[in-house]
Amino acid sequence: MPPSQEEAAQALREISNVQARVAGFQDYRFEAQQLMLWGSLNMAGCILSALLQSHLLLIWGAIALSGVVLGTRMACRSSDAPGIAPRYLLIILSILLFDVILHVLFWPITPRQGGMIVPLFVATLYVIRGAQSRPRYIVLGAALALLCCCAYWFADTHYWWWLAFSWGGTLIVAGCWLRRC
Amino acid sequence: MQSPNDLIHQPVRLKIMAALNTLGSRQWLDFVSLRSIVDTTDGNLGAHLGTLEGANYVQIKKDFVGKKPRTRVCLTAGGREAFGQYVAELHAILTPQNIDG
Repeated sequence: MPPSQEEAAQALREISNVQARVAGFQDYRFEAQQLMLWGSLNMAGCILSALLQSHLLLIWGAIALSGVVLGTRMACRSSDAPGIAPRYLLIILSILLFDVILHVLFWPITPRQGGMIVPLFVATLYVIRGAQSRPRYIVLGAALALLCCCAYWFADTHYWWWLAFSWGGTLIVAGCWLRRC
Repeated sequence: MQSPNDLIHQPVRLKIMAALNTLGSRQWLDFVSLRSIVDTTDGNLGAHLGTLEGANYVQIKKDFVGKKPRTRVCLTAGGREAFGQYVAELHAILTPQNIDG
């Protein structure tokens, strides 16, 4: 016997719910890989900045370049969505450009201030993204902003070490969290 | 009116088919992820996957990642076609002439 109209509508709603869940699941999985990559790179960048404070430009240039190359390769491998590489590059390069422009506009700024631009910008982007689609990103963005601000306000001589954990560490932990969802 | 596919209409199998249909063709989903999406137990999921595999709607692959066993599931071309037809039949039930009739 064919299902009633109510059962048919219920089945279509169920299909729609599952599709949304799968999309969220894939999105979190994709993001988890990127968070772990960028978390590791940023943590390495902060530790190197703490050790070699006169080579900040070189260190962060190398970190950004490595991230773009590895992240693009990873994005292409983990998603078969059309145009993933250009879209990924657009996002990453926009963040880097934002950082460069703010440095130019507000120069001179201290390395301590400069080190807060990208973490706070990325935190804001995650909160916006979380508000629009996936709630876990709100937690990630809020935690990232809070911990990085704590590093800025409370870590005096150990600023880069604190930032290594509050910036890189938060991204890595968030990556593990999203991968487990 | 033609009755929608009873094999797919069962709630857990419907979720399995909907989840796998969302993925691209020849794209595999691991058992643990599927269990999390479908929100059921290992045994229940395994039993329903067995039924769908028997109907040639899904393909199941078991392998190892290092020393860890891994089970992955993929929708077959026949399964994708059957699911598409099932959804079309559900929509047909909800068309105005069927609702009024």
